[in-house]
Amino acid sequence: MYRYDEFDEALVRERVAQFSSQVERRLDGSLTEEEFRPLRLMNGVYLQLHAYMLRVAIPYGTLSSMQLRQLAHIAEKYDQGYGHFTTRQNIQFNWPKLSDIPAILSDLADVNMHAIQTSGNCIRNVTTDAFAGAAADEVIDPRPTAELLRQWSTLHPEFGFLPRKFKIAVTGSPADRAAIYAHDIGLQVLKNDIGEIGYKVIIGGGLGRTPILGKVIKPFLEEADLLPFLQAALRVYNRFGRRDNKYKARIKILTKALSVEKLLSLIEKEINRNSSIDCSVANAEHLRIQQYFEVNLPEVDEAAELRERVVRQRAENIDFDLWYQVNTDLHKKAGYRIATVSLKPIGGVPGDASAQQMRDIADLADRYGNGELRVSHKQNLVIPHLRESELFEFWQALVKAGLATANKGLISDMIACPGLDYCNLATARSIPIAQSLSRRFSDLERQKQIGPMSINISGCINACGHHHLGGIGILGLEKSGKEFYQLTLGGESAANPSLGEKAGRGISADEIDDAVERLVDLYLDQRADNETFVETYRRIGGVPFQEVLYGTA
Amino acid sequence: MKILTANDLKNGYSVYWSKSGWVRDHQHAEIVETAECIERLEINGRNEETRQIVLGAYLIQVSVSEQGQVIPKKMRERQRVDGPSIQVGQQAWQQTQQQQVNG
Repeated sequence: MYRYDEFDEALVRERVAQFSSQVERRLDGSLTEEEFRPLRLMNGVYLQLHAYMLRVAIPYGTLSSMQLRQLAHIAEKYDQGYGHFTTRQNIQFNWPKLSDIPAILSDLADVNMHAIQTSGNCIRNVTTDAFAGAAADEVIDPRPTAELLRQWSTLHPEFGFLPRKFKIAVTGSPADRAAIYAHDIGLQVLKNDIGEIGYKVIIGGGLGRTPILGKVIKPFLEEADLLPFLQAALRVYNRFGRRDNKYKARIKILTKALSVEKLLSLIEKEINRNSSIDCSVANAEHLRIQQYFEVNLPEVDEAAELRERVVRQRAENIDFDLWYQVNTDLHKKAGYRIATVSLKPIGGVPGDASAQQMRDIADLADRYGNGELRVSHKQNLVIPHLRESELFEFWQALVKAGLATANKGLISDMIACPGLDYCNLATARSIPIAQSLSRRFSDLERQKQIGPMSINISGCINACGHHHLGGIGILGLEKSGKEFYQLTLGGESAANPSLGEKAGRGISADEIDDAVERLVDLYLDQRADNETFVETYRRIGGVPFQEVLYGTA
Repeated sequence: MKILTANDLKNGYSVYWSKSGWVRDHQHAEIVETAECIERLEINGRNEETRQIVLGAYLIQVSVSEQGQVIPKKMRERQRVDGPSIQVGQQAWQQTQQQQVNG
C-alpha cells in the first residue's frame, strides 16, 4: 500500500489544525453558517436530515486493517457504532457532533486518513477497481495512477472552485469494475501493440438527472502525457463549464454542447499553450509510486494434497462451496483468491458495517491476508490476497462473525443510497426497498439460478445509488406527499456499459417486490443459454418486460 | 398551521421551537396560525441563527389530528420528525433524542 510521506502527513495535520480553528470560530459565533458552510464542505461535513454527516475519504478504496480499526473506533467513540460504505468507496458517519469533528479528524490523521475531497466543487476522491493488483484479468495495476492523481489533485490550487464536482475513476482491467464510463473522466490503463503503457481516456460521463455514458476522447494517451492532458482538460472545463445553472455545470453537459472533437481541440490547444510548464511525470516517479503497491506474496505450495484439501472441503460443506463460488474471484497469482465480504446480509442495510464487524474484518485481513482491504463501489469490502488453502478457515471465521453472506453479484447484492432515511436531498426512501427485495429473494439457490444481477436503488434524481446502471434500476420520487418508484431496465456498468431505460409509470413501494419478481420470471422464461438479465433484455427488448411489469400482456 | 424547525448548531440534530425554547420533540412545538404569529416565528428563527444556537431555521406546515398529534404535511418533514424508518438508524436516532438541546 502507499504510505504517506512527511509532506502528506504535514498537509493533513495542517488541515486538522485549520479546520479545528474554523469549528471553534463557528461555535463561538465568529463565523456565520454562510461563511462556515463552504469550509465544512471542504472537510467532508454535510448537514443531513437528522444530523451532521462526515464523509471520510478512502483514496481509491484501499485501506489497511489499522485504518479500518480506527474507523471502528470513530464509529464507537463519536458516532452511533456503525458506518456506511458508499458507492464512491468512502465511508460516511451519520451522527457526528460538529464539536467532535476536530477530534475525529485528528484521530483519522493518526492513521493517515482525512475527509479532504469528499465534498465541494473540486476533484473528488479518485476511485478504482476494488480487485486492483489482484485480479487475474488485470492488464496493469491502476492504483499507482490513482495515487499519482491523488497527489496531483489534493488541494490543487487551481481546481478548488470548479463549476461542479469532478469525479475520476481508473481501471486496469477490461472488465471495468470501476464504472469508468459513468465518470467525468474515466481512465483505462492499457498497453499498446508495442507494450507501452498508456490510457484510454473517456470523458463526459455521469449519472444524476442527465445520465450520459462517457465518450472516448483519446484511445491511447501515453503515460507521461496523463497529467498535462488532465490539467488541460480541467482548465478547459474550469473556463467553459457553465456556472449559471448547477444542473448543467458538469463536464458531461459541456462535452455534449461542444462535441468530443471540439473539446479535444480545446484541450490540445491548452496543452500547447502551456508547453513551457511541464507537469508531466518522469518515469522514475511512476516507478517510485509503483513500488509502494508491489506485494511480495509468498509462493504457494501447489502440492496436490493441498489442492485436494480445498476440493474436499468444498465437497463436504455445501455452504462453504456456495460462498467459494459466489464470493471469491480468480487471483493473478496461483494458489490465491480474492474474497468479497458482503455487506448485504439478507434484510440488512446495504453498505452498513458495525464497529464490531469492522474490527472482525480487520482481524481477518491480518490473520489470513496481508492486512490490506478494499471498499468496492458495490458497497462491499474485499480482502485481495488470500491463500486458497486457508479459505475454509477464513470462511469459518466469517460465519462466526456473521459476515458470510454468499451473494456477491447476485440479486440481493444491491446498491442503495441512504435515501430519505438520512439524506437531505432525497425524495423517497431507498434502504427499505432494498431490505424488502433482499428478503423476497433470500433463497440462495434461486439467486444462483437467476445469476449475475444488479438492482440499484436511488432515493432521488441525483442517482447516488447508480440506478441507471442497474439491470433493474429503482428511482424513488415523491408526488403529493407519497413515495413512488420509477423502474429502469437494462443498465450495466461492466465492459459493455448501457444506461437503463425507463420502463413506464411509477409504482408504489408495496408493488416493487412483485414487480421485480415478474421481471425476473420473464427473464428466466426467455433467457437463452447463459444469458444474463441485461443480455436477455437487449435481445428481446423492453416491451415484454413492460407488459409483465404493468400487466398489459 | 405552522411550526418552526432548525438544526442544533453543536450537534446538528433537528429541533423544534416551543414556548420554552428549542425541543427535540415536535409534539411540543409552538403552533401558529395567524400572519402576525408566523412572522414572529420567522423573526425568532433568524434571531436564533444569529445567536448561533441553531442553523437553517424554517417553518413547516402541520395539521393536528383528532387525538391532538401534530403531523407535518410534507413527507420529508414527517420522516424528519420520526427518524430513520430502518432499525439501526431508528435506534441511533432514539439515542440522539436523549441529548440536551444547545443554548
